[in-house]
Amino acid sequence: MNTNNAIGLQQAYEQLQLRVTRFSATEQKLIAAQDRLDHELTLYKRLSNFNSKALQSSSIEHLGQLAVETIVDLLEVEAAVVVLMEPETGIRKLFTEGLSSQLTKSAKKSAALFHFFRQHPPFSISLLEESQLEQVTELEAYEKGALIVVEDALAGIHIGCLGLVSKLKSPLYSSLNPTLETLFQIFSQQFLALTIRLQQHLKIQHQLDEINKSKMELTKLSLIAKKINNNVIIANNQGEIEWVNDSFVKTTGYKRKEIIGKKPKDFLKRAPQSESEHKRLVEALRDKKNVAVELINYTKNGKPYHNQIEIIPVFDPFGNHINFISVQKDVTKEVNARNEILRINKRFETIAEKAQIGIWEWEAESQKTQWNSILEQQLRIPRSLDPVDFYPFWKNCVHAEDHHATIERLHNFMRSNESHLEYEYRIQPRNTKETRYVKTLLIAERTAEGKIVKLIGSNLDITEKHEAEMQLDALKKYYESLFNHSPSQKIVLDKNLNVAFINESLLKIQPEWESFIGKNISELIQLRLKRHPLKNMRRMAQKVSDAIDLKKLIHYTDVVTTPSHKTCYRLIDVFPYFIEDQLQYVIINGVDISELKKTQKTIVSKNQELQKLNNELDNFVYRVSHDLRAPLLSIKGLVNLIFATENLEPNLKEYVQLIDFSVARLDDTIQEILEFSRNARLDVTYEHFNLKEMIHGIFEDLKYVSDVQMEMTFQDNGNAWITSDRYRMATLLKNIIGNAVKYRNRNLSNPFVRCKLTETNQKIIIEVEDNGEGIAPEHLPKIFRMFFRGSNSAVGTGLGLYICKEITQKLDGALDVYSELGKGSRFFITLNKK
Amino acid sequence: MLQFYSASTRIVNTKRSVTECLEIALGEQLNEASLLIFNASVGHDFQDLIEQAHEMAPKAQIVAASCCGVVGREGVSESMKDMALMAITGDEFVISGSSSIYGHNSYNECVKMAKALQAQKAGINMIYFIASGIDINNSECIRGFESVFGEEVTVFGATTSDNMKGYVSFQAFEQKVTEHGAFAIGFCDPSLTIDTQATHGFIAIGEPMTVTKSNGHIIEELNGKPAWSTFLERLGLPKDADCGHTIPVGALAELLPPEVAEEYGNQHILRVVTKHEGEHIYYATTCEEGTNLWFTIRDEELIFKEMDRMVAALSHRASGKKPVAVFHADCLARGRYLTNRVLKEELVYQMQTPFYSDAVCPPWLGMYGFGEFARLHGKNTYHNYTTALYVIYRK
Repeated sequence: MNTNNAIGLQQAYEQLQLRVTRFSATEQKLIAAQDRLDHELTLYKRLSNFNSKALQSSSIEHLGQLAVETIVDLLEVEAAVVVLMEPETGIRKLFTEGLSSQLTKSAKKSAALFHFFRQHPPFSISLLEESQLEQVTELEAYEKGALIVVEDALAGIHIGCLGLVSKLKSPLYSSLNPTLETLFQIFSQQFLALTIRLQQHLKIQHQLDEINKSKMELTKLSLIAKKINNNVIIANNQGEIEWVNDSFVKTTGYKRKEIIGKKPKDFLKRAPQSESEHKRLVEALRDKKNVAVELINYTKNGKPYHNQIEIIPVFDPFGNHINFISVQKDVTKEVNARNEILRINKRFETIAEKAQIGIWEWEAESQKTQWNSILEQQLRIPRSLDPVDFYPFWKNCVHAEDHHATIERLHNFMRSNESHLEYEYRIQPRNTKETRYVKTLLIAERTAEGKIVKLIGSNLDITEKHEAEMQLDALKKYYESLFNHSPSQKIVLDKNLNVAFINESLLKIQPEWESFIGKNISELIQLRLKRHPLKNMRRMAQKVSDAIDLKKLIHYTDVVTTPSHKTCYRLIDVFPYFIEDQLQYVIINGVDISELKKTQKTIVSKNQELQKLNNELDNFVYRVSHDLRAPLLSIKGLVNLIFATENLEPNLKEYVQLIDFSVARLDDTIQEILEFSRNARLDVTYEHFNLKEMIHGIFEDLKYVSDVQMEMTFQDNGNAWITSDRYRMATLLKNIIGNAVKYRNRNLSNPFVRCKLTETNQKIIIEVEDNGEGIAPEHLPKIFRMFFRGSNSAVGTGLGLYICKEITQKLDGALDVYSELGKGSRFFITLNKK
Repeated sequence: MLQFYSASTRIVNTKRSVTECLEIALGEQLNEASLLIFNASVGHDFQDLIEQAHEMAPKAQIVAASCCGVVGREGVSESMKDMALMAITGDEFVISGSSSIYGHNSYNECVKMAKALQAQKAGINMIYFIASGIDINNSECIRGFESVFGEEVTVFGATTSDNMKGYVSFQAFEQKVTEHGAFAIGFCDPSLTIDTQATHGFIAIGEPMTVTKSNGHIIEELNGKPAWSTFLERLGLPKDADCGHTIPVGALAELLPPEVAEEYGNQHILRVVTKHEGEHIYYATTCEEGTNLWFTIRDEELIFKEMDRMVAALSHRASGKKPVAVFHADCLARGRYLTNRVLKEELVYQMQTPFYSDAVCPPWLGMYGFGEFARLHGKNTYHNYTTALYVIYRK
């Protein structure tokens, strides 16, 4: 193949390639054309779909929304707007699709947008450019638009349809082509027709609804008239009854045949006090006006009832009077209730008056206030005050310091939905400088929405009460202060055993108790301090319980450690206070006895020491006395031997007698010292013995002591047995009876000593009486002292009566003496029965 | 365990459309939804879409992709107001996204997304990937995901589109709408498995054009001449034609190796041009210099035949199992602009029925977009002008 042929073949081949490719492109164009047709068919289907859906539409809103979405779908645009205008009625509606919600909101209010549609001639499509769309703010974001306006003059409807494409999305959308134009035209015409059809349908539907509503209302009214509890009468224009309901028949007791055709006045009797109301009724009927009256009528049986009557004259469309309709109601119960309320109101007014309660009532509608005489006095309201000026007047009366808070509280209450308000404030009545305290109760009557209809207020002057409370408060503080400053520690429990008060003295040593105020004692037992029960708490609770059970004061002691780590001993009194078996409170009083405890300890220790010393002294005395007596008795024996010696020189005899006398005295003294020592040393030993025998034994021992015969007697009540310490009793009686003998009146011829035993339930009394020398009054207080000797007539140690006193004390008894100098003495030994 | 529910509608108002989709798909279980995947035509307002969906199902994560039409269990629809939803309950998934993905950064952005997925949950075994269909290098996207998860993980999904104008497309995730974004959903439900396949049915014709100068996915010269002019001239289109004009007729084909061609049922894999800047053609994948590109023509008979073959192959591999959900990506050029409505509906019906269980279509979410991701000869591959099915089974 030569070069030329090769080039030719190559060119031919390339041409062929190109043709093949282009053939493919052409084929594709054909397919695209087919596809376009297919797409057009789809668009017609969309239009048909709109028609089907629109025919089912039951509201203009639904139809409008359907239309605007169809424009987007049909024209395949980004957004759409439809306006519906009725110039005659001024109705304007706007529907959008694809517009942002902000633009839609703004568009609905935009007069410019509606004006924009009206500018365009009807029934022709306008293709809008950016510059045209810019005229309306809501459309300025769009670059292209297709608009058509359609109208029906007869129906008075103008419709504008607009499809929109923005600059941003413009490349995605096709331009409006003839097919789309045709579709848009058809759509708009159909939309107009469907809108008119729907509007007519809605109007007919509305009328039908109205008719149905009227029919239903008529049926309801008829039913109401029949079934209602009120009495209904329909009379002709002459007042002759044409129809009455069952309720009227039931109320009056008349049968229908007695009613129909008659005028109510012909058979319905009325009470004389209803005459003025009846006159008003007659006048209104004569003038054919609505009237409402309340009469007292009588039933057929003669029973009176309160009849509330409303009569409405009925006119035909031409203004002719055709009927009277009367609605009556038996309001007897209501009238009775009203009278009862009036009676109660009167009573309340009286109570308010007596209780000095100021009352006012404010009506929101009239802005007027009414008040009673008590309030007039409280606030010094002038008689000339206009009811609408009450509020500013009252505001001026409110104390300056309470003014702001009081007014604000009132305003807040009025704004709220509360039904009542109670508060206190001070007032300064008009033209006075006096400050009074008042307590106000406000009651609001509100509508269902909470709006105030009426305000009713009461003012109670509580100045005295307030002052009393202040005094009480001061007193309370005073007593609290007393309690607080008391050196003893105090806790007060209330009747439920809750801690009501703790004074400062207690808190000083037990500060943790501050947190116990208000807590119950049973609760405090459970408390733990660092995992341990509170010290002494359980014991205190027990003592409180015991005191309440026993209803008496209880003492006990406890020990606490103070915050400064000192040990504090306390004597605690628990005092429950009752009124008629009802516990009122419990006072727990703690006294710090740490010092006392210390002193007591010292005393006990000293006592023990003293006891020891006494014991030692007693032992010493006993031993000394005992040891002294032995040589003395030897001396006495020797003296007796000397006396037995014959031919004793008189002088020597006298000396020996003096020795004997001195030895006897010394022996007596030693014996008494021994008695004293025995009494001190030996324990008391009680035994049952015969006193008479003991006294007679003593008499026997003493009967030779006296140079004259003394009368010695013992008297008892038939029982001389007593229980006491036999030895001590013998020593005691020997001393006293011995003294009676020793100090007898030597000038008397009938000296006596008389003993007498008497008993009471509790006591034994032994009386020893003599007619001896007696004791001088100045000596009487001293006779029981150690070593005191009241008489020189006898020789004594001065220890006898001292020992007697000591013995009676040891026997838990008493020794008393009554004596007259020169006449004698009476000693009384009084012992507790054992 | 993930559960799938689907619905599709054609309602003009976006919010009402979302409401209807959710009510149909989930009904009483609305509160249990954890993930909502929407496909919607560009006529819808995507901001309104996510706001309404969030209001109705506040606990759910929401993603959306723009497209030219949708396919649901209710059938196919291509208009400006279509919407389809796959609603998911359960929490065995994670989401990541990019709001700025282009041809030059496709790899890096996908690596970032893959790492973000990996950081959230382990056990991801399939990734649903949606990205802008304009100016993107899809082979680099696949490489990015595989660099993190390996070649075994299945990347399936589509690239978003408009109504074949090649002007704009939308993606929505994390409550925001993007124009050059992407999102990836990593599924980690161990009880699920996926099978994917794509088919086109086009025939390469004539002599190929040779790429004589290219830079990544940008072809600068064809046969030694400026690329875009040469492309238009071969198509017989005027010089002012744009991508919207070339897409229906300008499917370019690359030759496949014989072993891959056998499985694919075609010797060529197709590519679409969705953007040009001057003479530079923005190709859908990396295009090496020396690559031969053929023009193609559509063969309806082959399309149906290959569709049957693909569905039969998927069914065969399922061994009688019925899917729990089917994701579906179709090229918009196979939709309204290349196939008439009747044929298309028949095609979809033929595609869906083999997956029916008791005469009920499984939850189905399909879209007409710019491109499709599906495995070919064991590898994740980007396709154009195909129907791609992603069939999910319970193990």
